[in-house]
Amino acid sequence: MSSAFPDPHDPRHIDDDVMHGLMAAHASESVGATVGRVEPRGARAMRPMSMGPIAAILLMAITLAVLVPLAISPSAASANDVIGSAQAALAEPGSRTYEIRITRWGGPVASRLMVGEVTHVAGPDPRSFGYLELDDAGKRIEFGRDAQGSWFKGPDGQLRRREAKADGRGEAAVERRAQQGGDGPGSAAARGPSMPVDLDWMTLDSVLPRLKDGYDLQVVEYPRWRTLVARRQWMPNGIDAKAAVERAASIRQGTQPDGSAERSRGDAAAAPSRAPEQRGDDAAGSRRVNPDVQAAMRSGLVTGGPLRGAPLRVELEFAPDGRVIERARIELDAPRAPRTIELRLKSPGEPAADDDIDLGTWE
Amino acid sequence: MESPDTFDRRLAQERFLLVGFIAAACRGRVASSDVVEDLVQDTLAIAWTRRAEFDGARALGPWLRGIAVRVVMGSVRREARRRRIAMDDAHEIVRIEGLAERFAAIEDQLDGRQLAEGVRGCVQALPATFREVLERHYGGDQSIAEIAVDLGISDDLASKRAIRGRALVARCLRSKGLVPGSDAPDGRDEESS
Repeated sequence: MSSAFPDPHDPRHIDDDVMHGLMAAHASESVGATVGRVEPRGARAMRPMSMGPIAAILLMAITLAVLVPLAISPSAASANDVIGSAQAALAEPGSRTYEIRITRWGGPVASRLMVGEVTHVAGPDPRSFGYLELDDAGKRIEFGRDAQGSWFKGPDGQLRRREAKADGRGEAAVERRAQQGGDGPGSAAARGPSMPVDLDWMTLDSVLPRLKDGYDLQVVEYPRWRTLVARRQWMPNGIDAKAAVERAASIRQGTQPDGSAERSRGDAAAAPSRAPEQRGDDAAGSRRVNPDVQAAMRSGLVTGGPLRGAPLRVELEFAPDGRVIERARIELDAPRAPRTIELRLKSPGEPAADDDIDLGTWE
Repeated sequence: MESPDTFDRRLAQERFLLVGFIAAACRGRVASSDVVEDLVQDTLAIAWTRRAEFDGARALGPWLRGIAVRVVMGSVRREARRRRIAMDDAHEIVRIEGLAERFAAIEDQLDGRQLAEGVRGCVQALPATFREVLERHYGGDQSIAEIAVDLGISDDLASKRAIRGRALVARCLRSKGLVPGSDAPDGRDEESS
């Protein structure tokens, strides 16, 4: 009886073992079959390497030694160009929404986190709008910017336009009075009708032009990402614990963010004097009056509000295209209560990131 | 006795089938293709030193395979001792002799050169997915596991591609009349996997 399957004992049957052998023979005959393949391994191992492979290896090593540092090291780029391209990207028709996180700390324990969103709408009628949750009870404020300027709507539902101040000292004075009352900068009493943070630093379209004056700009550029770091000139090392202490002492002495002394305050004379070694180099830097910075302050770099000063440091991370800002970290400097605004670009449909900041370990 | 030049030429002609036979006989018994090459060299060296014993009027292939069977058996025994595994000598000899018969059947049909050309053509005609696996496995000395990692596929899939690729080459050779047998699917279960 004939079978549909070949007889494995039939010598004419070409099974997988035979095909394995034929394939191995084919491989040994192919281009890869070099002299090395037909000599015993011992002889192959003893054969010195020819100059060809050595030259190729040396060439590759030299090439890598030259190219790798170029590929992984930051390259210099014009900060103004980077800001310009970011502004152009923001001005392109369409909208971009960023998550906002504002961390505040100060006093004996870390303060709380505020979250929200801001949306930039570009085009013929550019505007920004968003909200900020003030507490867990759902109290929130809405804010925005349009052709008329900044606005916000507090929990009372009343729309307020930002009052233009000539030098920004009016609201600062209000805040100072509130601090003297002992409420601290984060309290409603201290804020009064104003925003808890400066609106202008929560909307990127207003952040970018402000960085052009009064900041040392550095662009760190790698092949796949680009970051712009802006450091306020009067405190070149950015915000850190020491800088915060220095700043608080500076405020107590009535020194303005630009480093100039404010002698109008009555309590300036009563402020405790500091030893020079406590100030450090940063303190010396903060005392230096920079006319350019002063001019920038006067021209709107600091327009008042609860914040005394412009951000100590702004860091912008760009998307791989080098134009769209994906993340922004804006380290504000408010008396006793430095705040950090973090903006993170939301892709359409992307859920909000979890709150993963441990607020208890900031101090 | 044949002249050395004539014997060398005949050895060269037989080399393809000799390598194929030794590779098939060593399959699963020795670790690498380098060992196969060494065994081929051992066989050719023995044949060369004993060429005076060879009757030039007869076919060289069976004589070479007779030497190769003993060389391979010696290697398989050494490998079994090294790995401390039990080996059934009789079973191994039957298996290797069976392979020798199959290669003899192939050799009856055509010589090594024609078969080498046929295999090359059939491998070139393979679909790329199968050809890549076979070329890596045989030409590049990569194990199936290494191929699977490189291609980002499972070990199972890489193994199936190798098996099916060989089956397709066998079918191609049969369809060209280069190996015995009809074009009925060889290892039907393998091809359907």
